[in-house]
Amino acid sequence: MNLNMQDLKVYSARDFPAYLPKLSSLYDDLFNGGKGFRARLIHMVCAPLGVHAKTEQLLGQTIEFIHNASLLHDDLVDRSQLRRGKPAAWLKYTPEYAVLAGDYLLARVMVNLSTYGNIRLVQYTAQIISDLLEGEWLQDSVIGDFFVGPEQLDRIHNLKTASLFKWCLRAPFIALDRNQAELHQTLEELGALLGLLFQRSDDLLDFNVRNHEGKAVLGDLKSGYLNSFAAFVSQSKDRKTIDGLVKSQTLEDFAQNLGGASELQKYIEEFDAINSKTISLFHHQLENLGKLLDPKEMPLIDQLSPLTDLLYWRRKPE
Amino acid sequence: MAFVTLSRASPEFKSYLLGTFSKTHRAKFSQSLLPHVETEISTENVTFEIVPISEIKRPTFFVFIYQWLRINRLVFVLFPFLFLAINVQEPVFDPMLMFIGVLALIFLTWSIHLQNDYSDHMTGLDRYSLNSGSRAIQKGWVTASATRTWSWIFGAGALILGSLILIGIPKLTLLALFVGSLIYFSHYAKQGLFKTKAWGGWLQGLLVGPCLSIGLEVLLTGTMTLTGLAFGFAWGTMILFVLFLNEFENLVPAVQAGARTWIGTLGFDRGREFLFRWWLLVLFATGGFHVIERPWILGAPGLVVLVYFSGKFLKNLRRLTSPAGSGMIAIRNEGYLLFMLAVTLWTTEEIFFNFVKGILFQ
Repeated sequence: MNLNMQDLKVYSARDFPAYLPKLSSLYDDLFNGGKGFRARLIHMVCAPLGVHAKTEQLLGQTIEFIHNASLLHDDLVDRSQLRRGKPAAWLKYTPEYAVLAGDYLLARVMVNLSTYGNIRLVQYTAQIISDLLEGEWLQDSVIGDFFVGPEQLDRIHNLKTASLFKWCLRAPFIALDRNQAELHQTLEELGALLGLLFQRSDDLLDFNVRNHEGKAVLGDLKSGYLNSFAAFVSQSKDRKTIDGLVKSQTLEDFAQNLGGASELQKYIEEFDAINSKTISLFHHQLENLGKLLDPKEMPLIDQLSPLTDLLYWRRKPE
Repeated sequence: MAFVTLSRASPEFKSYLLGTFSKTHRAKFSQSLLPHVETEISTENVTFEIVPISEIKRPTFFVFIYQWLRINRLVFVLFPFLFLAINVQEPVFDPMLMFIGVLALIFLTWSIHLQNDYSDHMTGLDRYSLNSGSRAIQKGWVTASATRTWSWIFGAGALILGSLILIGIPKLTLLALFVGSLIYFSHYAKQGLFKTKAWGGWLQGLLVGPCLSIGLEVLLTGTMTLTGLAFGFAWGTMILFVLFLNEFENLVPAVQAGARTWIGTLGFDRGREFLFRWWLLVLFATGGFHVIERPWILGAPGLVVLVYFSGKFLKNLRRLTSPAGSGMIAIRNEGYLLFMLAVTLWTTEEIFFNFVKGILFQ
């Protein structure tokens, strides 16, 4: 998976009109800072299926456009100051440009896909964008709700985060006109599980768990958002304890309000145990997928299998 | 940890769903989540997690029975009986028939609850609403097959006892046929109206409201009165309040699952407003009943208390901003407590009213 954004050919300034002021520099900042994981996932799925290079490029670009459009809007909605270590687009340029830049990416997605001509792909992509926005809307509605439960957050993440993973798994098959219902049900399940694991792992970063990239600690909590791990920890706690937890300024404060570092560690282990079960379910569904593929497509299983290590345990594949 | 994925067409599928595939293990649904309703996705395959029964944490027998049979929900049918029995003007028509009738009612209530649990499990609806029904099947405490069997047993018991009532009081036959048909098409038919039609819930208000009160009054006194009917309508509004409260709490999962509910068709903003106004209707209906049928001085204190506590509930309801947050559960709990407060106040009033009446007119 040693591809960089240029290799993935997701973004090129030539794809956009040169006469729109600041558009090129805004997109340069946005795309060059990203890891392009979703486009890489597209490549991982397309390669064993023998998807044509141009189609793979289209799919990779589509998912990165959708993802980055959501980031542009997210940062403005949340009033986030930084994105990938640099000032967020709405701050560096203007909020209006950030909104328009996000909208423009989604519009380009529709132009590109409709030109490609696969109507199912267009319909599915539109559905995913709709799901993503629903998830964003619902997530915004629970900002400041410090009693939200883990199951309620899972519902939101299934829309907001998992939808893009599902797209990455299903879109290549749709592009190949492989539309069997059972196949897509299995891919949908796999995408949902990957999305859930990715989100939960991302939420653990907020508590400095496996935080190799040095993400800011307690960022979600300080923004007024109870993420999935915080919701897991605070369920069944009394109001006073929850009050202490959400007002924590440091991880040490948080642990102390919980009853000590060992208590926090216990919760992390319990959370990991629950997600280990989710990982087992993922591998079970991967076996089911194997039964639905042609023999020559089986390398796809080998490609997808290490993803749980990468996305949840944050372990680089050997 | 073992998972099994089966096609609905597979011969083993039903046995896994019913829980009869093994004497030592249970099969729990293990679909990852709540797929958004989308015609492209098949629900042909279902994934189960196979769990040894020995690993399932079961509550004590009494807690299990309380939750499985939803004992707390008996208030929906027993309060009308209590109200009418306390207020009966003439001696009870036939004490034995009264006893049989109440027993039939309890059996019927249990049969319906178990049938709802069973059909939610078989259709997969219980995976979407995380707190609907007793959750006994989902937790692995009991199989769907056993739940269905006990639903039939209680239903048969209700039918037999009900037949004895009809032999004793033939004038109830028409009502029994009407109510029986409504119950069958709401809960027992394959596409039960209760869960497949947005207006299906309204039928419950009719059944547990005026139909129940007419039936109970005839059972107790051999005749029906306008007071009994008025009470039935007032009580029906309270039952519907609880139903709409549950529908409101489950708004997002129900819509995502494609289940049709009245509140689901209204949506979050209009549903919240509807619930607000419905509770005002409850206050008006119950208050109106007291003003017309009772000395207002008797009903006034209870109504004042109820209005006072309603204020907080209604304010919190109006303040709700998210259909996906903790407020939805909190509102459901507050609303249910308000309902129980109303029942408690009314019960206290009726006992006090009849006690005073008994002393004054002795």
